[in-house]
Amino acid sequence: MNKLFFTLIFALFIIPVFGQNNTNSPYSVFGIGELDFTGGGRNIGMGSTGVALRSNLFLNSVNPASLTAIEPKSFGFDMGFDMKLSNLENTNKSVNVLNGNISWLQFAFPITSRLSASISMNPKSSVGYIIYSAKPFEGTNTTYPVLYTGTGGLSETAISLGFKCFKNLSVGATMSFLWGDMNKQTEEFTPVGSVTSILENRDIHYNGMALKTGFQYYKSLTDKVDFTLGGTADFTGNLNSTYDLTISEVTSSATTAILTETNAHDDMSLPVQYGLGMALGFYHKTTLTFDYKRSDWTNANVNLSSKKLNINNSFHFGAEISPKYDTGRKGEAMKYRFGALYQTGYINVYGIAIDSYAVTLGMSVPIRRDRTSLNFSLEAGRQGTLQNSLIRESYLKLNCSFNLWEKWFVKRAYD
Amino acid sequence: MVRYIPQAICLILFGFLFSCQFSDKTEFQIGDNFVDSPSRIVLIDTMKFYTSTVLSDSFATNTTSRILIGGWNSAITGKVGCTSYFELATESYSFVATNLVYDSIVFVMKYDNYYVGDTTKMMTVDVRRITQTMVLNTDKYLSNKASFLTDPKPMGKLSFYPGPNHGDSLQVKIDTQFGKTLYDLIINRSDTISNSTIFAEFFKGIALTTESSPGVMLGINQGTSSLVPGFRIYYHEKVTAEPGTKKTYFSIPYNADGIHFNHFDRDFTGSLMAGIETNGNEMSSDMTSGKTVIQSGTGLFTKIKIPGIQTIPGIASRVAFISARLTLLPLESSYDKMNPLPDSLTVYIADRKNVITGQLLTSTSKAVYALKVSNGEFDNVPYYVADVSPFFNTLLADQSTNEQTLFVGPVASSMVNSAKSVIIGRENSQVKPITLSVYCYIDKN
Repeated sequence: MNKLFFTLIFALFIIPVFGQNNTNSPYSVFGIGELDFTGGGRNIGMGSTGVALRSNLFLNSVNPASLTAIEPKSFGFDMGFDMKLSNLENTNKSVNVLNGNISWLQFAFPITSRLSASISMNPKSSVGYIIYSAKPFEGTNTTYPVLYTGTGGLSETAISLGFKCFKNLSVGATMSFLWGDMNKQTEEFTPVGSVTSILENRDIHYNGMALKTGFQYYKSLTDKVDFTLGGTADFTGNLNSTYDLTISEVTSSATTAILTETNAHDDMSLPVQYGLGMALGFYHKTTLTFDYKRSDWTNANVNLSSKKLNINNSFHFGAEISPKYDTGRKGEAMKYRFGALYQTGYINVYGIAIDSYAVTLGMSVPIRRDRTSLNFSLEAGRQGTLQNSLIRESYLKLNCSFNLWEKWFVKRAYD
Repeated sequence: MVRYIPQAICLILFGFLFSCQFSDKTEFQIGDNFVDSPSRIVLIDTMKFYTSTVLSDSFATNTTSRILIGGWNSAITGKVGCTSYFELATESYSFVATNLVYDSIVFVMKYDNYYVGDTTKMMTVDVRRITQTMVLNTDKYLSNKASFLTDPKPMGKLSFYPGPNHGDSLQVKIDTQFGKTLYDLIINRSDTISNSTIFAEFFKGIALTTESSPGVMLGINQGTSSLVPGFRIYYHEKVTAEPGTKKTYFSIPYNADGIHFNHFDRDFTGSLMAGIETNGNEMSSDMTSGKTVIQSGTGLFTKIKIPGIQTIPGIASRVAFISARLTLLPLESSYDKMNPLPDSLTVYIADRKNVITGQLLTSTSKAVYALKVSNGEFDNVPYYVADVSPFFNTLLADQSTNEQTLFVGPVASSMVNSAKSVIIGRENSQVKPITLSVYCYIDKN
């Protein structure tokens, strides 16, 4: 029970850190912002795959069905940090930015021999942009400059259950609660008399529930080759958003509110995301994964005209090699990972889909006898385009994570 | 348990470190319509409004800082004439009473550079004695329509070609007999001349009228520093030893502390404004080929009635009024170098009975003016522009104010001491001389 107490206290400390979601990408102006990948360090190193990954060493929040791979009477804790160095570039300028964040926090434990559970927290999306653009000045033939700024993001807290139905088949479900605050401002520079601009300030609070279901079917094809097939469906229902709005007139001497509204509603609905994955394991030393995910944003309601929304298809490949794997000391072998991913992107601006691709590298360093390890992953990727003065983001993301396993409900003799 | 503490502290510190933002947000310039924003600023210049000229002609003129004489005539505003009434003040006179000889009397006055009309036409000014005691009305003022009886026979008259920009003074020869009477009062140290109040019982004041139809209205300086305007009673000392005379004078000048006001006469007959005659009357610009008039002295105002203001909140699901701008274009032929446009006009608020209730004030209680812009949007012709946002704010905030209208008129200071007119209009009557630009923030969400 001490450990449970410890972890709860720890979680209380770490909760405030969530919600400080950081990005500098102008694309985070759309929808709920830049979407964060939710998975462990192993997933990131393997091209963000995970639909068909199962392991008794690493937690995998991509598919809750994988929870049934946890060993009995063990307690897993996993926590990751991100550090992202981005180069944002368009035809006018190029800047380098550095952002950091906690990328996830997860506890997992078996309940019965067939049922396992986990509690997790992770960022869901990040908003951080300053965009200088123009709007048509209705009633005239001209346009006027507009400055859009936004900060904030959504976080997710989830409870997952994995259930082993049969020897080769597990299913799982994740119930998550999404919440977060954003501040979005639009400053419209239309000089009218002494008014130099109109400032629109929205303080938005989001909350909503999401349900993710998944299955994994695993079978040894030969005694050296394992096969896993996985599937997930991620239903984020309506996201309730309430916001306080203030419209102010800005003059050289003062800013005066001309319209205020509190608790206005502007609900969103996010699309269902389907994932299908395959994993092949060879000699317990090599694992190959492939995931395909699809989400149809064209019917989503995220305050964007449907012209700007696409069906997002993403393709992920990953590989993990453990050259010194020894069945007797399976937790203590170094693991090396590679991966690649491509997303067609859900946003379509000026007829151009904002796609992204990345290659990944990762390694896992065992640090203690009892399957605890330190994971490093590096993702190098690019999003967007330079066409039509759009933004291209080239980034390098370093992820570090801790993977801790303890015996669950077993008092150590020497403690 | 204890062995976890260093790890936990490390993790927490690590977490805080990582969740820092290391770079400031950077601004990126992206093309139009990158962001779908349901809000925007709109310019509404299609709002319906009605314009007319209103006669609102009862205003106090006993605060005038200028003596106005003469009058002028225009095809648009008709005839306007002015008679100035004022009292005179006595001085303390010092003299050696023996061997003084009375000579003559004149009324002296000086231009103050103000004029309106045609200065090339000769005019005749009559100096008339007021025969009725001047008193303020029950509201303690005298209006532009007040008048008092005068002697039908002028005390003196002067015909001259007006030179309002000349430094010369105008000297009107006054009846010598009357001058002698005044001279005797002074010489005899009469009680009548001992102070201005007693003197006003004897001599009630002067009215300056003009004969026939003058071409110009002139401003006469009220200043009394050199005791001008006023009577000068000339006399000389009888010197027996030497030949020649030493001529000097006594002054009975304008009484700045006494009652003084300008009475305006107007006659709209035959002009564009014919028919407006009565106070509160109104003439739609539809009947005057789109033209409206602003004129001090007569009290003509350009009225703007905007019946649709209270429909603004309905134009979108969320609307915030920002600003409203009224632009008035003066008629091309109505001004020139000799008769320039005033630099500013005042914006008043009036009720539905065309009674002015006050000036339009900003939220910080500053008066709103329509200021002249000499070169700008309208092919560099001068125009007046007024920020009438406070008017909109009032009407949008309070339903009961919806019958209020805007009056554009002369600035208060020129109201009583000029007869200048500003004609709002275009030679091409198809072009609207008055435009209303309303700026709103709307959110179509």
